[in-house]
Amino acid sequence: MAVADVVIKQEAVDAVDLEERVVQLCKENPKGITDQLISQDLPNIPPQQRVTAINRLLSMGRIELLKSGAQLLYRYKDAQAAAKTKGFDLQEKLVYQIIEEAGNKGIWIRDIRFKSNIQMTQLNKILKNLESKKLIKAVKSVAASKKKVYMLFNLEPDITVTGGAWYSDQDFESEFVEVLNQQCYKFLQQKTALAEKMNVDPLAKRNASYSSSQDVSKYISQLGISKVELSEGDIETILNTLVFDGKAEMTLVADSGSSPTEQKKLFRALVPLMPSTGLMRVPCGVCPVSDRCRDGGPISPSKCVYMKDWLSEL
Amino acid sequence: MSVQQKRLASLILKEHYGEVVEKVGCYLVAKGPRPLRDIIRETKLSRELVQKSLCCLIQHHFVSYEVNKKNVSLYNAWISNILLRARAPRYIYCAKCLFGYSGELIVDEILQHGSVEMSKVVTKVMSHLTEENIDFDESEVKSTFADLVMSHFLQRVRTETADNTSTEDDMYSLPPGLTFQGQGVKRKRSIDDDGHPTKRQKTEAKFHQEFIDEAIVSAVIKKVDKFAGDIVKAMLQLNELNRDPLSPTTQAVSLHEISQNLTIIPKMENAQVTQYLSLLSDEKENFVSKTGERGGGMYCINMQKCIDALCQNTVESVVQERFGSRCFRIFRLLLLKKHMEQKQIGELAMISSKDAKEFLYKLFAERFIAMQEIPRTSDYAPSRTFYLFSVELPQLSRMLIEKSYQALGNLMARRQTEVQENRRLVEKEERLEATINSLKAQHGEDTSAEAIEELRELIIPAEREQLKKLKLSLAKLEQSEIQVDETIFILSQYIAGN
Ligand code: SF4
Repeated sequence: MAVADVVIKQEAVDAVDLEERVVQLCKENPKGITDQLISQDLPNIPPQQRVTAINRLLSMGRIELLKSGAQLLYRYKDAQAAAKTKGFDLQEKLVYQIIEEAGNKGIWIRDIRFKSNIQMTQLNKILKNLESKKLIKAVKSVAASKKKVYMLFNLEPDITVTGGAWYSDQDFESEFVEVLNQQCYKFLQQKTALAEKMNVDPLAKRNASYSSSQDVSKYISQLGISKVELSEGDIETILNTLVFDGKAEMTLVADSGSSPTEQKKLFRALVPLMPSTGLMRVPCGVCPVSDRCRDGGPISPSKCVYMKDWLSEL
Repeated sequence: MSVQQKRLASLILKEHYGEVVEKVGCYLVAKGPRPLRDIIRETKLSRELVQKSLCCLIQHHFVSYEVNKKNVSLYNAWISNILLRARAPRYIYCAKCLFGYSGELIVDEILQHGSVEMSKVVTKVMSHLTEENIDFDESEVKSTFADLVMSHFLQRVRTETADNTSTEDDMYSLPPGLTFQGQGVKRKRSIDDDGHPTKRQKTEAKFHQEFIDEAIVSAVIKKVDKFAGDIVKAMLQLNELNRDPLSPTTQAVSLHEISQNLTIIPKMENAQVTQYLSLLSDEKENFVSKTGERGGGMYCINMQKCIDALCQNTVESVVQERFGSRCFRIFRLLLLKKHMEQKQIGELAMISSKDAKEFLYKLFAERFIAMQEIPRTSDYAPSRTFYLFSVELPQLSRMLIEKSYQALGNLMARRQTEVQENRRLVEKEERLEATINSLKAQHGEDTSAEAIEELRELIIPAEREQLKKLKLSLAKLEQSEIQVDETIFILSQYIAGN
């Protein structure tokens, strides 16, 4: 029994080896190989066994059979691509290829249509089909909320599509940005307050009130308010919004650490210069209908309700 | 000259000088230089009234006249002077801060008359002071007057004859004659050598300079601290009298001069002052520049840049209040980066493209930002066109100053309405008080309190309440008028320099 077992195993191993060898041969000759070539390469394999191996490979889709003139050629087929497009009809294959080409930036359905020349209804069907097979996926692009792009199922969408850290589900996270904006400001303010307390000359005080984006970045990551990893660049983007808000100012200094030409950005909190200007402290400054306000008209200073409310809040 | 300015001018004239003067003034504002004949015909006022009004207007420098080739006098109105009348409370307040109570009274008196002789002012002020039982020496009043002239807050009215010969110095000379307290300051006689009374008027320019200086100093204090503010103040004071309004910077002053003029005690060390100065010149706004090394370093103040910064602040404050902080971010971004597309704006300001679109539209619709279309193809197809947004500060300031004039006019109109609506009540109260006063005068201190009480009760509690409310409302309106004028002031300073 034991001997018989060994023999069977031997045969099985041989069969696997044989298949591998055939695939190997096919890979070496991308144009395809003939049956003859296989039998020359593997002289001591009985034809019976050879045919079984080739049949198995064909049915697994690892090689394909081509007809070139009078002879038959076996050619290697990419394993995965083969597995996926199996059972596709021609149009499906075409669409799949177009989407594959687009990579992780994805492609818009209209562009697929132009490239493939397939009717919209038909194309929709194909796309649905491919989607249900989990071969492709539709991703909402941040560039335009209604625009969907298609890409292969296993790809991670490009940053231009997802928008990076500031987007979740392709929606811009305004609140998240505002929270970070406030936290960064708080950090800068604390730094300024600390510098204020120092008993040093004005220049040193000023210098002490600056923080680098690294410092802020560290602080924010310690706070743990962000679920996603925020890079220094991300924090710098936030700090820039503070500059636009007029709440911080930025200055460039030569970075002592690295090469002398390298510049480092430093930020410090600012107090807004003036309280609201006189005009904005009266109702007319914020009045939505001031353009239509005339003496003696239907909207007039004498009858104005905004004025009335404002005067009664004494 | 815009609709709003004309309206405001009319409101001002009516409030301070009555309806007749208003009619004449507004006619001239609307029509430009006109001879007396036309004014009488078209305003349908009597000759006498028109002449009186013109006289009043000329005295306040609201109207000037010139004789044309045909020997006809043409009267021309200066609307800008009329509009400045709204700033009177601020001038008076400024005089009070700098020169005390007598200064306040002097400026008030001159404002009421437009131009007036010094002797009259002094007499008026003295009688006012005695009325209030304040013990004040006449010579003190005179010396205050002299101070006001010496620091250029008051000047002589240019007379027709002296015009060609009078120099800058003459404008601020005092009547020759008595020397005053041995200080070498020439003093006082209301009649000039040629026998003509010399009239005095206030000079807006000097007051305005004072206001700007104040604004700059307080901005510096806010931005750096009070010591830096003190330094800037000293620098401004050092060239208080020789400021060239056209030059974008003040004359340079040395470190030594600055440190001698500091007011905060204990005085800072020179080293510290230098540090503050270099800090100030490093600021983004560039308020201060170093111009040389003499005398421990020469420094000047960049007036134009200061004014630009103040104006920008004013405009920003408007945007902030009117549109909220996220629009404000976009607005500031545009100020910093000049021209930008919607997509970049959204990315840099970290605002979702939907919101960015909305905010830009809001700002654009109210003309706070401008838009430029740059087509990439000759067919101007929207999809192939760049839309660049930008902030045009000079244009925007002009629009906002219009809005401010409107707001100021609205406040004045409202105030006049409030007074009008409560006229009967106010008059009633005035009559009553007058009666009480005359009672008191007749019977002296021992007027029975009962009688007064009885009289007072003629005004019922509801009316009292209403009167109280009215007074508060009027005070609030007046206060706000002054505040709105502050906005107008900053904007007009910026517009004048651009
Ligand atoms: S008076 Fe009233 S209606 Fe007219 S502009 Fe002012 S707030 Fe608006």
